[in-house]
Amino acid sequence: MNKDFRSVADSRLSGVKVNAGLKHRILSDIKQTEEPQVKKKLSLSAAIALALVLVTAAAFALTDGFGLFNLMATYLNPEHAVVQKEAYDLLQKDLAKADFEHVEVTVKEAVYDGRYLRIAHATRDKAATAPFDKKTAEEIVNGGFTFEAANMDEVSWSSMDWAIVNDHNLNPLGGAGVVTGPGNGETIAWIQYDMSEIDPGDTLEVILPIRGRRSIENKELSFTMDVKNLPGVYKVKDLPEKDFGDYSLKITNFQISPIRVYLNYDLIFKPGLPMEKIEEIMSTWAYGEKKTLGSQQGDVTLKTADWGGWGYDNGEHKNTEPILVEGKDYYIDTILDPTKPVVGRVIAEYLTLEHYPDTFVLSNGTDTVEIPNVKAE
Amino acid sequence: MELCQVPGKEMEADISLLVERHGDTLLRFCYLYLNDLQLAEDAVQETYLKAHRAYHTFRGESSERTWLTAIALNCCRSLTRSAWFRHENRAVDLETLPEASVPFDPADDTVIKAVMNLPRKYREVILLHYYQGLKLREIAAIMSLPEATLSTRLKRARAKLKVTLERWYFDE
Repeated sequence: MNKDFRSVADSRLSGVKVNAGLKHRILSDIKQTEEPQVKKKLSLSAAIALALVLVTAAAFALTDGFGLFNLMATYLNPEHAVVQKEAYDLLQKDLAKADFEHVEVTVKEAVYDGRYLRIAHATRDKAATAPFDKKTAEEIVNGGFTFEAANMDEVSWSSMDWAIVNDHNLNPLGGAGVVTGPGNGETIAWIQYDMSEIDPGDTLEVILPIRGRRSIENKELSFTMDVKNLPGVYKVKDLPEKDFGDYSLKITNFQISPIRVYLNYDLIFKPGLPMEKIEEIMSTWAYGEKKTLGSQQGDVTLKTADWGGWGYDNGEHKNTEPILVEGKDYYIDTILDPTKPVVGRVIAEYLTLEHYPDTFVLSNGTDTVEIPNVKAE
Repeated sequence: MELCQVPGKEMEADISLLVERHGDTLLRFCYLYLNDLQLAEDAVQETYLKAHRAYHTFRGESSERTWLTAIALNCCRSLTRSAWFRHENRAVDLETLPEASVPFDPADDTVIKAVMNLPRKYREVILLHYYQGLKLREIAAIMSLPEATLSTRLKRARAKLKVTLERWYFDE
């Protein structure tokens, strides 16, 4: 480039500075040594259901075990731990161990179901003679999900906010957390990485940076998973698109695994439809109370496990306030190019069933889309 | 493993000083990456919190700026992975930014928008190299990629920009 990009950008962005408010937020955060308060970007009803969720140690009482599938239910309810029997065929155990001076870190379980790589790993204080008591557990939760022995070895759960899988950097998406385990001086963390944008091939080469860059350089906590065969995992073929007049609904991905059912769909709104109307329709398909996925006869309904999305191409639903005031949202709706359609996207996850209908019916209570349950090759 | 010692390293990180030294640049870097000023502020806030927590692991093998940039890059990546971010409209709009405090050539918006509209992997390498001024060796270390891969990526990124900015910012 024959112009210095740095000086061009610095001049153009010279109004973009760390102001007193941001500096105060930074320093307050550090004082509290807590996670930053990320401002709400969406309405409460459109909360980021797939955002990283950290839970308290007390929550483990909800589960009856410390396996990965049990942990997945920790911040929700027990039925979120229910998976199909093939899920246990996908599960791989005791994949890696890293022994440091004060703690030992073990990747106890990992599972890949065609969409997410989910991992549970334990960090154990080698000198401990008893499990963490309640008071210590609370301190661990309030102290950044780590403890003294782990700190001495510079082992940090928070460094797991990324992983390297087949040379791709992945960030976590969806539920995650840390609980105190049943072993002496043990914490167990679980986390999941969205793999939807990479082709895994037959094996996953996973590197977990439990001690940051040193873990990568020294492969301190890395392992290989065979993912050639994924029993119970399939994609549905011939994904339909249906026209409802003002808009059409297009299924973009429908994948069934023994752990979750994943459904993605786009709502394509025709030019001329006002954004307020688009919002109204979108809400019925994204999180409306009458929204269902089930069988034609109505005797089977899948339960929602998680959902996200809620964004537009060619449209904006922008919050005008940095925070929500008294539960009320302040939004400005805009269509960027009125001659083009606005496209809204929904990502949904459902709990699994033992048997699925021959045809699924996705409905918002008024309109329906039928999805034949036919496996893709 | 022994850590390299740097003078004054044992002292607690003076985050306030780090904000003074690098805050504005990091905020602009995050804005150029994320195309959202509020998100960029969140990313910078998180960057400093992580820097504070991890200061004891900073080995002084890289500069403070490179170290903070690496953390900021990961924070930006984390934010871009959230489900809602991926489906927000990402049209670049520099007009909504706070008023510039120094004169600028409005025509320069073209190159800034061209960079911000690059696919993420190309945008990353352009911003790290041309905005943060990192050497390929430093970018390779941050991104855990071979230098040769980064070199190819940078060439491709420049080629993409060249198409957008032909006879504008390129001599060729």
